[in-house]
Amino acid sequence: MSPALVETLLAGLNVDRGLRDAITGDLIEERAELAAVHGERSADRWMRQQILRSVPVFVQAAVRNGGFRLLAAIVGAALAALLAVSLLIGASAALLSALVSPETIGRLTIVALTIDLAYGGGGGYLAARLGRAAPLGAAFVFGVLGVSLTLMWGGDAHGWYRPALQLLLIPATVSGGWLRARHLARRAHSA
Amino acid sequence: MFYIVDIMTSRAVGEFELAVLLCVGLLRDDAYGVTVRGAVSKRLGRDCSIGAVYTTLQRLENKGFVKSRTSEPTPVRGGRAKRCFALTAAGDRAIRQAQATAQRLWSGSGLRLSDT
Repeated sequence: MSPALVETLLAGLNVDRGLRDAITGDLIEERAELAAVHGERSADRWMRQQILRSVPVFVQAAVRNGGFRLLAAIVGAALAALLAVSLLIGASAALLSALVSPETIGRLTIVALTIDLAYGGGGGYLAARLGRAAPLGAAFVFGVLGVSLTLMWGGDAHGWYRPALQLLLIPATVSGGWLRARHLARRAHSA
Repeated sequence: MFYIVDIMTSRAVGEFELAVLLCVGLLRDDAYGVTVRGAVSKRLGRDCSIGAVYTTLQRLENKGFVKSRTSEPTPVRGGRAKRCFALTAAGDRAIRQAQATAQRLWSGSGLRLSDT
């Protein structure tokens, strides 16, 4: 796990910049000491374990400190992003049906899935941008709302299209959120 | 009434917080993430995560028990600064209070580990 990845993850969890720097520096320092004694592979494993064990602690601390306000900020950001993406999807669907016949659209399922996942990624990025208090949390909630909508939606889509969308939507939205967190981490580093 | 209870709860120190506080006090000028994590893990006899140590240090700082400063970035840390911690007078009092409470609890109990 690289230091840049650690910084992105911490930025996504809204850990402040000074603390991100200190935590990443500590991990680099201790990892180097371990690598000198036990080898690179063992040091990498230790670092991964530290991160995996620390993420729930940071989430728990954020929930404890933020409480209802944090929840409202996350859900609000996810709903705002959902509204924006729904409008875009509606507009692009109208444009597509004006340009291409319904039979042709029916044959382009893979293209439709790719477009929807791209919208999911974009929406995840937007949710993370709006939900500054917890960028990755907002992107994840956006994904959960999106999947919930596809579960309720009774369209006559191609057989595998809907299960594929339900399976891939949350990873796509979290990827969008991750992109936003990476921007935040890089911006802080270059400032 | 609720205000008093809230203040009492926020000023109280838990077991892990006490361990971190104690280690910050013992490490004096060398108290930062790596050393505090190492010292707490050694004292508690279990490996503590860096996240647990930092969230606790932040909580202790919010309570006014520790204060922090940022050091100069160093190459060995990939150009990143250390956050060094030091005990405040309130933190020192909190340690002494916790010790006194533990002594009051144990004194005259007549219990030994083999009895429990």
